[in-house]
Order: sequence, then structure tokens, then C-alpha cells
Amino acid sequence: MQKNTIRYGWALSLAMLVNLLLLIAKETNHTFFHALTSLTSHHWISQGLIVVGVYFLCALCFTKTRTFGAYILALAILLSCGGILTWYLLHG
Amino acid sequence: MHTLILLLHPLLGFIALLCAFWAMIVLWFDPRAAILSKLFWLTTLSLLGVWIVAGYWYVHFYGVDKTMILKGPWPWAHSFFMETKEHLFFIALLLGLYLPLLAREDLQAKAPRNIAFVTLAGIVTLLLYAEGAGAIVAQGAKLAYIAHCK
Repeated sequence: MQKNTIRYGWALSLAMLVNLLLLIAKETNHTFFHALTSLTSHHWISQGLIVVGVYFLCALCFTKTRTFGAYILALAILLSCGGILTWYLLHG
Repeated sequence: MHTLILLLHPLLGFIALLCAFWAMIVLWFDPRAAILSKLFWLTTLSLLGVWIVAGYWYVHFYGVDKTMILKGPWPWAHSFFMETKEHLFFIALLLGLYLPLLAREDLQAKAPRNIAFVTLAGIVTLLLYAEGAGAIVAQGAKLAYIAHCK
């Protein structure tokens, strides 16, 4: 696997989890929701920009990572997708 | 202009879905095919297009529909389907941004059929298919407006 695929793989896994955390934070904390809204006029735009920003920023920072397993990505996808679905099944 | 934006959203989404699905099939049967790189890039660009077009629609026009849906007979069309769809999209977008990196990999270097990459393209396809829940949101809005007119 090439260096970039490894770096961005870790960044991708982390960014997906940040997406889930942002969702839970904004749905449970109104102050945070309004802070997100005030950033760009809409909470969804702010969340998207933060998540994509985290992805590229982490990829820049993870210069020393040497290994990346597909199972890490699978776990991150499962956690983030499952988390979103479960959250809205319970609170939607 | 509004109609164009409204139509571009599912059209770009469909192109992204089609390319991701095509890439998954090509990855399985011929991981060294030259078309893979183009398919990965087309998926990514379509997803970025969807983000901009759908985001513009969602932010500027969806508010009215949202209010109507929540008052209508299918409030869950927004509270479950729309909310889930708009947050799952970020995962599809991130995976889409990762796909072009795979184009640089020698996909046949370690395994003749790299299951991990096939699965990744498959997950993008599935997530984009799930975005089709927009039809349920549209139906929720339609029923709400019909109920409002009665």
C-alpha cells in the first residue's frame, strides 16, 4: 500500500467518527448547534466543512503511520453508519 | 434555474452511484483496467457536485417543505429519512474522496481480487442507493401539501 493510501485511510476513519460525534453533539447541545449554525449560516454546511477539513488535516498530520488495515476502515464505517441510523431510529 | 438545481441533484447522485457500481464490478474482474481511474475520479467529482447542488437546495429551499412534512401525515419522512440521509451523505462523500487514491495503487500487487477495495466501492454504491430515500422525503412533502389543501 502506498504512503498516501495509508495516511488518508486513517484520516478517513477518524473523519467518519468525527461526523458521528458532531451529529450527537449538535442534537444534544443547543449551544453547540447554534455555534455550528453561526459559523456558516447553516449547521449542515458547517458540519460538512469540519468533517472534510478534519479528513485533510489528519492526512497531513499522519505522516508517520506505516500500516493500515481494511478492518479499521470497516469498523469506522460500521460505527459511523450504525451510529447515525441508531440515533435517528431512537430520536427521529 | 430552480428546476435545473432540483434535477441536477438526483442526476449527479445517479452518475456517482453508477460509476461506483461499475468500478466495483471492474475491480472484481479486471483490477488493472485503465477505466478504473476514470470511474473513481468521476464518482468523486459527481459526489462533490451533489454536495454543492443538494446543499444549495437543502439550505435555501428545503425549510418550507420541512415545516410542511413535520405537520403532515408522514413526519418521519423528515425526522428519520431526511436526517439520516443528510448525515450518511458525509460518509459517502469522504469515501468518495478516498477513491482516487486507490487509482494510484497497484490493485493486483498482493491479491488477484482485492476484496477490501471491491467492498469499499460496494459500500459507496450502497450508501448512494440509500440516498434514494429522498423519494420518501418527496412523498412525505407531497402528502403534506395534499392534506394542507383539503
